[in-house]
Amino acid sequence: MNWSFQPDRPIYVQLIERIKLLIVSGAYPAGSRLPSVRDMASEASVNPNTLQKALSELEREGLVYTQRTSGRFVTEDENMIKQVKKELAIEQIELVTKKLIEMGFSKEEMLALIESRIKEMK
Amino acid sequence: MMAILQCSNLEKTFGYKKALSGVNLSFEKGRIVGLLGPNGSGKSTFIKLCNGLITPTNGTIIIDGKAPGIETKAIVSYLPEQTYLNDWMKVSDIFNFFDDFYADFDIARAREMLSSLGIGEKERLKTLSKGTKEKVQLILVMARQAKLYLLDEPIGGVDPAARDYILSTIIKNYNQDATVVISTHLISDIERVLDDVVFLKNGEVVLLSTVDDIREGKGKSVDALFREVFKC
Amino acid sequence: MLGKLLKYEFKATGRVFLPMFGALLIISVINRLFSNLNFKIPSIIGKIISIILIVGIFALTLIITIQRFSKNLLGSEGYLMFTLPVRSDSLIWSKLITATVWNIVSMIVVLTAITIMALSDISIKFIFKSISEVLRFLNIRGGDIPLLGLETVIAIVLSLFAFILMLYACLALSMLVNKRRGLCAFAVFVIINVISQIITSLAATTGVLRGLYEYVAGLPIPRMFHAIFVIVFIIELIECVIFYVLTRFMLTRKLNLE
Repeated sequence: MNWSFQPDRPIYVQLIERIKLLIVSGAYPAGSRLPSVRDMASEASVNPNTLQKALSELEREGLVYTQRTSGRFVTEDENMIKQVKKELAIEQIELVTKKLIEMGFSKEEMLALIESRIKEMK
Repeated sequence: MMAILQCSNLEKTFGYKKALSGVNLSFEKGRIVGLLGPNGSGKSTFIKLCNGLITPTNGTIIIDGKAPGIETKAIVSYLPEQTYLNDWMKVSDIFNFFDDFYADFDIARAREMLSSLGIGEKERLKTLSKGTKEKVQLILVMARQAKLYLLDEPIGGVDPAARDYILSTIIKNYNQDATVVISTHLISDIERVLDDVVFLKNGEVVLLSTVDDIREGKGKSVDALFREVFKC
Repeated sequence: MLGKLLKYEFKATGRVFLPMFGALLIISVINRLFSNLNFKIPSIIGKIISIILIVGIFALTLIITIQRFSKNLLGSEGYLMFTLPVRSDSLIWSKLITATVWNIVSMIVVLTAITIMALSDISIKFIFKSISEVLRFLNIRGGDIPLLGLETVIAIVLSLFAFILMLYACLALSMLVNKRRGLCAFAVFVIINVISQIITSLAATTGVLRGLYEYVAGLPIPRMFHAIFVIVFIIELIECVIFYVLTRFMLTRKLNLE
């Protein structure tokens, strides 16, 4: 229930990321109705205006849309969601690779390390 | 858009001590504002000026277009730091009391909040624990459809679960026509609930900003900035 | 709003007074039975209990008059009362009226209790005879009685108002200090009494009021009483005004809650 946020970045930016994550992971499936701003803000323990700002941005990007009488919905466009999923994944990969490069790994070493870790999984 | 609260050159002196000086503030509707500062910085004084418990030494304070008085008291909902409940009433009695005096008191909502906390209406205020009394007081304050909510240190001295409940109640109760002013020195818990923040130091406003501007502009949380500004 | 304040004020105080009144009245009836049936020892015990209750009622009335003001307005409950959308005047009046009513009611209850316990046919006749003798001696006719009765009631109410407002002023003025307010209120009480003693002595000895005294003393009986009452009314009213203004000033401009 407690959504945790990093202290040095605006909360609405982090909310955008968090909601995108919930959408691509299927917690908010395509075409599903989002909780009301008030409920969502209460659950995330954030200011409703801040959440509204995040949702407006997501609306601008097309990931969610508002139907005047029925509320806010996740887009039905599965492709867009896949695209966002990919974008988020690439962001994470950038972070990891940047870190590994900082530590002094070469491209081949990184690839081998990641492959072996994934093989060991499950 | 008219500000719900406007003060210009507000000053309050107690004897020799200047509790507030040169305060110029304007709070808009639909904002949750944090009044932040260490103990003795003037937060409580400011709030008492807003709800008419004390009168300014200088300057003006205007709430919904009027000076603090009976009409503003009808639209201002105040949660003081200490409990103001008497000991002879039952919970239902104090609900009826608020219903009697405040036209904007939503008794149905109050009962809802009460039962969700598992407190009985027939319980005597005298027998309630300190924490439960504070929750009852919070319910009384938040069940009013006021235009201005003044919460003086609502989460100080309260356990983490209660703290969550209080913040969640403030958020759930949010409405675009009302303004919530929260005075506190415990910033990290409350930062994410705030729109705007005011830093008060020795009775003067040293910072007025939105939370986002601070995080984006200065790359740090309000909590971190606070520690810098108020370093001992 | 005053009506609502009165409602809650009576609710808060009634729960303490009514049981005491009830207890006293019941004990009085029991005592009467005891004395009629000639139970010596229970009768003595009963009388002791009723004396304790009577003293208790007077003490309680004073204590509650003070407490309803100091606790409900100047203590932490004040944070609730002074943020209600009501005028400070209404707050003062609600307490003043309630306290006065209870003072009068307790006097009536105590008199009733005594009457139940002590009154017999003989004593009723005796009391009436004595009163009518006194009235005849004073040259008061039957027609004067209603007016004199009314004046007595007004005098009682005004003097209660003045006394209670004086207590309120002492309590309100104690907000000037932050600690030991009880002591401060008592000090103010002493000072006020000293000042009023000084004023009274000065008025009596300096002959300032000699003219008035001689005029009043020269009036025929019923009119003299009326004149005395008017003077008493004026004095009490002046006291009421002074103490009310002091109290109100402290509550509106110098409010200093704990």
